[in-house]
Amino acid sequence: MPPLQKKICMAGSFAVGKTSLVRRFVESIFDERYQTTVGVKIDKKVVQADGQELTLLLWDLAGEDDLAQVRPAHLRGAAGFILVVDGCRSHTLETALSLERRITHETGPVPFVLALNKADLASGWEISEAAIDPLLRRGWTCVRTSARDGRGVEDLFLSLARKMLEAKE
Amino acid sequence: MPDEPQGNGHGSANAFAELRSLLVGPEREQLADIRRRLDDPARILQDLGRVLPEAIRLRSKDRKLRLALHPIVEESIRVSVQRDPRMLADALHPVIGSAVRKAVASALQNMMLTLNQLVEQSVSLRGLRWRLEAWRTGKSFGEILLLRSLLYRVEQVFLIHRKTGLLLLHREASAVVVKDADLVSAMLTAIQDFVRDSFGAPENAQLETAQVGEFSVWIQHGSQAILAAVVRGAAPRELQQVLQDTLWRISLDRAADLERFEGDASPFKTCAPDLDACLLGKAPAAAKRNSPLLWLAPAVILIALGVWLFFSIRAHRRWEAYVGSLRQQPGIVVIAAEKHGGRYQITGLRDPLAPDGRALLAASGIAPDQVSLHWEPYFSGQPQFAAVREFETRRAALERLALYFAFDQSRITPEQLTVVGGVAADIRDLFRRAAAVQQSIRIEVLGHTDDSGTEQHNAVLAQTRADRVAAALAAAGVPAARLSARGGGTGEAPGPGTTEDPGAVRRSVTFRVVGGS
Repeated sequence: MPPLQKKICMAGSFAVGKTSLVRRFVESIFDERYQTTVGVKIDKKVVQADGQELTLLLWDLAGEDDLAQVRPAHLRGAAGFILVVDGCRSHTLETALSLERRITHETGPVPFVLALNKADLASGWEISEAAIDPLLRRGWTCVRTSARDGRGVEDLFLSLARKMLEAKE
Repeated sequence: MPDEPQGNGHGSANAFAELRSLLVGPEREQLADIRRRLDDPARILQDLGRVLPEAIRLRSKDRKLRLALHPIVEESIRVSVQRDPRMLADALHPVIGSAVRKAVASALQNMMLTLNQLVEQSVSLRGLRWRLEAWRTGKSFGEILLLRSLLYRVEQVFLIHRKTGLLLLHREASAVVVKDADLVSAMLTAIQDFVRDSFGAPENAQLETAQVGEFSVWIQHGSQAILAAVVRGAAPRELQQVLQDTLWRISLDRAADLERFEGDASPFKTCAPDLDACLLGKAPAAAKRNSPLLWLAPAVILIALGVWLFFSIRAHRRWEAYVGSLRQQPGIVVIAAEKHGGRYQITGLRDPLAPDGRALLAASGIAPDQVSLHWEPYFSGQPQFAAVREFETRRAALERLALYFAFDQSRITPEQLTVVGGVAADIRDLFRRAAAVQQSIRIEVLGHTDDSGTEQHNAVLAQTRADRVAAALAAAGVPAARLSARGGGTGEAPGPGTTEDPGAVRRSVTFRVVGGS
């Protein structure tokens, strides 16, 4: 099977750790300043899923808040996306939900994975299982991740890769 | 029994017909209906019309159908245009209008670019340098412009899927350091979005070039793909055309692949020759090849200049020295020393007693044929010349003197002895003057006779007369070593005399100064 490339967007509120999440796990040649200037920073992650080599081009979008809206142009052509939530700030989950609607509106129904980040911080964890359950029932994939100890990060990318391959079939 | 079979036959025929109509009646009606349909063109048209659109749709991928329809469609369009061109024009207007607008804008932009370059090249320092080079090398300014301005290289070419920003194909020139092309491709796309969003440009406006130092990125946009070239140096704008053509070709050939692209870039590997053809460049090799010559020429000129300078300075010094020595020469007054067309010319005054300057010329190292000397004679007031002139005067005076003797006599009379005393004083004076002008002289005392008597007698008489005067001179204080006496004989002309009697003139003793100038 020839290697595949996929455009992936990463979105989430400010300071949920999108950039930290990928920093240790991806190849990058661009400075993080790109994100504040151009509004996006692009990194690359190569994964093997079900015998298929997949090159994920990660468009790490600037943090979402009331002022900085995600540019629709950046979402165009994305084959999947990752929503990042700070497990210690429950309102970031709400942002993620609204982002999911906005991105899906732009890209059509594409696979995505929800990353519950900062899983290493057990104390101060705000997002309860009860908040996650309805999402899981809707078929969402949620992965607990930690940029600090690296847990779940590989799994996060792999889950998305698998979902994209399934969607293709 | 003919009736029976007939009757029977008639009856059975009816029965058979009835049976047949019972058994296949509906089929016969259907058959008749089908026959009617087939015979009725209106019905055929109706039926075909019902299925034709669906049939064409079903076979739309069929090459045979396309080939069959092709001439018909073409002819239809031709007829349509002939009948009313406005209809097609109206239909195409939205497409063509936009395309023409874009083409015209692009052409205008290119023209402005050329104009800018031209102005820049005409007035800038670089432009002036190139003009100088053109003048120096005898080439046209255009040639120099091409030679110097087109030092560029297309180092990388990216074929990018427009919608996703994913890299379809990347080619690089040899020995180019390439950062992760996937990432560069995506970032290029992102930057374009950024530029468009940030400056409120319309959706169809595109980033076409980006300049960073000596690098520039030239971007061509197609509906499905983007072709970006990273160029080092100043590329000619024809490159844009090359990129555009390449992108158009790929967009046409690969329309289907581009349409269904979902991350598998392998079908685009075959576009590599197209992209490689864009890796153009004009290396400054020509300039490098010229460099040894360029260095050699000034070196040779410099050396030649040095040699020329050396010789001309030496010649000038020699000339100065020569003229200086002439000026110091007593009896020579240099009025003008000039150089005319490689020849030296000296005019001045020269005492006849002074050297004429040729001897000094030989010592100076200047070729004699390079110099012409023009002297006007004059008498110098310098003491040494006065002394020489005085010496010459006294010498001439001495040589005019004569002591006269009586016929066949050689005895010095007392009166003559007084004269001899005076002559001795003159000779001593002459010796002193000769020493003063660095001349060494001696005096010859010459005895003469008239031509009467035998030759032998006369010879003896002449010798005796000379001997006696010489002895008298020695007695009067003239150094005998510097005196010589001899008989001049009758043939020898005596000194200048003043008397009327030639014989009396000849019976005499005269003096000659020997040596000196």
